[in-house]
Amino acid sequence: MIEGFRLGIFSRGTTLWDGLDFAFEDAAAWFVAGPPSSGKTLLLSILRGERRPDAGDVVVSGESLYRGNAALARAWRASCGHVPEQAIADARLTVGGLFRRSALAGGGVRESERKNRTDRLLEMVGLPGALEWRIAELSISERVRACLAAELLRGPKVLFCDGVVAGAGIPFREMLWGLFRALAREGNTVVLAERTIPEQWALAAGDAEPVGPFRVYRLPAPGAGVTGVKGEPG
Amino acid sequence: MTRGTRRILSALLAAAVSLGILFPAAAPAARDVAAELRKERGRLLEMKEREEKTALELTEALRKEKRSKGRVGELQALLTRQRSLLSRIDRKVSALNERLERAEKAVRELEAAHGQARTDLQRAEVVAFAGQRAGAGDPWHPSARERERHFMRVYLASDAEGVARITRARERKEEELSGLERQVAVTERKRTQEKKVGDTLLSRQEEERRRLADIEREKKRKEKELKSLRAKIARMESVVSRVERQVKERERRARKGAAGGSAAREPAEAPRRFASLSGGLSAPLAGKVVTRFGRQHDTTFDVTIENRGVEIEAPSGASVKSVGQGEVAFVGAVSGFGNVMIVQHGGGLFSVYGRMETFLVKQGETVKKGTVVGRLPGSPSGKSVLYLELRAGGTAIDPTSAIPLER
Amino acid sequence: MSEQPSLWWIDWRLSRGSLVRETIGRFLFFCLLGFALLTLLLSGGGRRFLADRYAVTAVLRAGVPSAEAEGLARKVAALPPVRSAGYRDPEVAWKEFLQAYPGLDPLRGAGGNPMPGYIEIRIRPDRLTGGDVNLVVAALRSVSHVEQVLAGEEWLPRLLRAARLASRVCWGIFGAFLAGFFLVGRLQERARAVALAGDFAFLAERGVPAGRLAFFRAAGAAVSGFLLAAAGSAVGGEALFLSLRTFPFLEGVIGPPSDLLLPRTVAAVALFCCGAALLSAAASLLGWRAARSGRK
Repeated sequence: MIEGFRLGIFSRGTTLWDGLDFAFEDAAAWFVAGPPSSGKTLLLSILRGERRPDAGDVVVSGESLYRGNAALARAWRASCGHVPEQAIADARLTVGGLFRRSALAGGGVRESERKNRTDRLLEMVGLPGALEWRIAELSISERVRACLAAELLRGPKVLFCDGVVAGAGIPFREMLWGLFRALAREGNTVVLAERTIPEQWALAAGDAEPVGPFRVYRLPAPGAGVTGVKGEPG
Repeated sequence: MTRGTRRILSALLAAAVSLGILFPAAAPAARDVAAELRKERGRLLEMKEREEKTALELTEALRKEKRSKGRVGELQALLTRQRSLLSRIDRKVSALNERLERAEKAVRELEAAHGQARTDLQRAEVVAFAGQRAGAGDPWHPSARERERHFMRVYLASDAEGVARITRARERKEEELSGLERQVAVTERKRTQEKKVGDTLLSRQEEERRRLADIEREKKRKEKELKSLRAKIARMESVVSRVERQVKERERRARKGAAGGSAAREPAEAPRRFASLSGGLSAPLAGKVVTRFGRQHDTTFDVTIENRGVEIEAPSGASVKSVGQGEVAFVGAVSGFGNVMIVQHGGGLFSVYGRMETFLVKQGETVKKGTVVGRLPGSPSGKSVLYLELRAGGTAIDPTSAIPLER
Repeated sequence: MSEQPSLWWIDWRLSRGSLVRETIGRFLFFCLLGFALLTLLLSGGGRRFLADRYAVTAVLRAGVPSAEAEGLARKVAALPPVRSAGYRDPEVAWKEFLQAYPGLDPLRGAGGNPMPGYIEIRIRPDRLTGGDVNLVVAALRSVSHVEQVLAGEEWLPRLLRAARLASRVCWGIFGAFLAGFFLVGRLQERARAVALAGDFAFLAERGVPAGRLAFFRAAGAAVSGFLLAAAGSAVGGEALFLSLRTFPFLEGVIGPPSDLLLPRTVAAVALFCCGAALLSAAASLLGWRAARSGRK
């Protein structure tokens, strides 16, 4: 369980937010919606243990990320998957390189296994045979999907996605809906940060919990179903 | 005075003693005999003077011969030594020449060796210099080069030492050569000198031999002449002796007649032997007999002479004593005998003292045995000679048999 | 799969191609450097060359018996700085002398051999110093049989200075090459770090601390540097071995091939490998830092 206690951010000379409490249970897909510049990326980085909050603390499975064992924090970060919203700067990086990078970050992925899984994941995200494609030549949706697939290669317990749904595009919304919920069903935790939640998703998620500038939705587990999600325009 | 001369004079003295003194007054018969005797005596005197003169000449010749032979002998000895010396000099010259030859040869060899050694040294120095310029030895081995340069210095020093050694040896040999040459020159000069001396000696020897030959010829001639004269004198003496016997016989008869048949016969003649003389005899002086009585062979002159008396050598100025008791019968000078004194001891015994200087008794004075009758003359040598003769019955006897004389 | 990822050879896993080229280049460089190092070690920086050309000559007095001279040579050979001591009798000396000065051969005639015997002393290359030479010379001069000692007192100091200078120059060049290796390596590391910055940032985002990343990169560089240096030294040593076998004259300058396996040689190579490892690690760290700070 990921808990954030009295989190506060002081950014660009102003207090972005303060005193926010979060609680993301394990084995669930969470959707955090917030307006632009509300600090969504910051929140994810705080939750990932990458950036220390100006106030408050994050506790993961009862262990403080910022006031506890640094090694634990590193281990938490290593176990997290992160699909950033920013584009990858490396122009020469290929999809295969991305997957290799992800495999490297994941440690113990054998070469052969990586290759198999890579193909399947790419196929899953609609990028079959895209290993040699340069990231710089991909569209935003392709890039997002490739990064998502690369993160999934490592099989992270917790996956943080920033702007993945919007970035992937409406055609792949249903895929992502199923993917995230499947991950949650497998016991993984997914935390999505978007500007807005797709309407179908919101309907399926139910009421959101307002936390500061954010609205936190819990996506339903697979089997709960959301009508009209598939192919519905956003 | 030679022996022959003394014999002649002794005979004359005897005749004078026997005839001229004892019997001053002669009878008419005796005057004939005396005249004959004087005549014969005169002739004898002449002959004896000639004999004396010839004897003197012979003596002189003998002396000259002796002297000449002596000189010849001396010259021969000198010549022999000279020849021996010349032989030694010749051998020395020969040896020096041999050494000279060897030294010259050695000097030539040393000069050749010196030249060769110097040439070798110069060439070695050239090689060393060239080697140094070219960097003798492996240029990548400086230690080897250093060693080779050191050995080159050793090599050159050895060669230089060799040259110096040869130089020193050559100088020593040259000094030796010079010394030998000087020695040879000196020896040659000495040889020349000695040869001249030898030639001089030889010529002198030849001259002396010629002189000796002349002397010998003269000697032979004189000897022959002397022999002839002596023969004549002998004959003459026999005549004189005959006459003496006649005189004596006559005297005896005369005495016998004068005594007139007295019973008192003349005492028997005194024994004609000095040993029985009353009082005996003593030596006339202290001296040594230097000329003995009788026939003597003179080895110097190689003649046989007859001495009628003895010559006694005594210190100059020694006193002469009478040998026995008697009467001074004669005092005077006799040719060849100097001052002579005759003492009559009776019984026909006479003692004759010759070569005296002074007389201390007069004629007719009676003397006893040991009475000093005169002195010997002085002599530069400190020695003088007394002539002593003893006659018994006209015959000379050996004085040493009657008188103890030191011989 | 939440374990810390293994960061060993991370650059190799991230950028194999360029690393292969770099590795080959470094390997060849270490082959050359290993060759040079072994050459310098065997030759002692020129001391072996010098030691083979330098000798102390003890000129013996005339008349020293051969047996005594050889006994003296054995005693001299026992001195610590001495490598060898051999006696040469006068006849040998004479022949050597004539070889040096051939023009003298016909000159001697019946003059006899003026040369004395001598003992030639060779000094160990590692003991060829003024102090050790003086020690040997002093020992020789105290012996009555020795007339003179030729030790090159005039030129040896210059030669030793030149040798030291040459050695320093050689080692300096070697060090310069190592420094060059370090600088080039640093540039390469920086370039690689820059090229892999995205990967490293990715990893950093995934909880891989930069320091740990740098450490493992440096460690990997050290290990690869050590191994490459070892391999290069081995190849360089083999090349040197073959060169010495093929060109025997090199033994006089460098040394015998057997010295390559001497413990001190192996230790020196090991030290070199360690140094190469340190330099590689340092280049990796400095290049990483330069890359992260944006310096060239």
